[in-house]
Amino acid sequence: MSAHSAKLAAKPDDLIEAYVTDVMKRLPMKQRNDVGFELRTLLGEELRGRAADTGQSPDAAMTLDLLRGFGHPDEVALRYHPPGIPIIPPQHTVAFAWTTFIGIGLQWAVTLPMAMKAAEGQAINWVGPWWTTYGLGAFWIPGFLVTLTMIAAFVRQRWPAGAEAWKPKVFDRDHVSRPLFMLGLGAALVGIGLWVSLAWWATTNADGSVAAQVFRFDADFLATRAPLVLLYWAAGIVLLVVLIVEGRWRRLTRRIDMGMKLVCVILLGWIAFGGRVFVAEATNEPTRGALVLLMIILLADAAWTLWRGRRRIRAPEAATHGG
Amino acid sequence: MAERPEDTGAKLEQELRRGVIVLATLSQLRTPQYGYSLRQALAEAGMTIEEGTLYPLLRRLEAQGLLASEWRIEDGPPRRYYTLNPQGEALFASLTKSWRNLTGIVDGLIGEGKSTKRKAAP
Repeated sequence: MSAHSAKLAAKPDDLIEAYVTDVMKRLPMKQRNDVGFELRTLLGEELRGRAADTGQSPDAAMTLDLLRGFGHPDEVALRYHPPGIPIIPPQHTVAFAWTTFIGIGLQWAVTLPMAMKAAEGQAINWVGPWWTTYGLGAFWIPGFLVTLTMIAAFVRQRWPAGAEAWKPKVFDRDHVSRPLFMLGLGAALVGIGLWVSLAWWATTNADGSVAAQVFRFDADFLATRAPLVLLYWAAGIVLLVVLIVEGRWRRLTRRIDMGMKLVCVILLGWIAFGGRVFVAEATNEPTRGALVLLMIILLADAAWTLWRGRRRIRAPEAATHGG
Repeated sequence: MAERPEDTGAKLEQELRRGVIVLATLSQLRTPQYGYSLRQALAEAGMTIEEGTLYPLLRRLEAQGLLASEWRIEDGPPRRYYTLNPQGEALFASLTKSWRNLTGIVDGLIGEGKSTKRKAAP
């Protein structure tokens, strides 16, 4: 006997019982018995009402028709629930999905090449270990986001007025904070000083301590790529000084800044993959990893700057009416 | 793909009806009713509500503190009877007032729409 014919051979009461049981499974424990009892009674009365209207005895086909019209147990159970608080509100669903995909994609993009390189490209050596560590581990991102949204849902419920109060985000995008930029300029000068001192110290004490050997720069790097780094830093300092003096971003300075970010990515790529930076392996490899990370951050920052700078509200194309 | 106009019309009418289901239900619970008898009473008055919508609604209204309920055994199986409690009665009065106000406004708008259209027509 097929499943379909078995359903048609079942007694109406058994079908109602099976349906009510399915609905009850989806209800909170304290509601189950009471709702189940009432629902069973009501469905029985509905069935008898239908039978009386049509002048037929209740049968399996009529019962199935009634139950299917009543709704899938999932939907029915949902209707019994009082309106709840969504963990991810509908207006945040798309942002949540994008953040999740981008986060997972980034973790995979960074860790896959590392794993492939470590296994010298032999898939059999890296697929399994990568998947059970970084690959599967990337799913911490949706879990972390869900936890944050649960905390946000709790805050919305606990302090609804505070959570709902809209705060305007009106600020001057072109304003340059002089104290902050001066601090940045100071930090840049200190950083350059440290870097140059380190290069000088490690080169002049190459035969001395272990630390000097560890931080000894590659001769080719110092001869070819390092001068460009210094040139880039000098250009960056000039831009910072101009911004501090003018106190505002202009279209030209924004374009120069964007161009410098892209030049920096190319320069970093050349430094990382154009040869060694440090002589010692222990220093060279982590430096290369840090440079790649910095490239990714700079590219993301450039993309974010471009996206943020786009025109948010565009005038619609006006309809033209022929006369 | 754009929705067919008749589907859109059916959906909008459903939304319109959904908005008044609570008021219609509360109106019939000034006297105790159980699910099936309530549905029959509403249907006789011209307000057909699907059983899958009405029965859970009764529970939700009760959970929201608007209805009182009790099991009764009379002629037939045990039945759960619902009726308005004081909060439900107050809400019913308030919703009735809002409904009358709203229908007055919408009637006015619909009438105004017709006259505006007449005036605007060449």
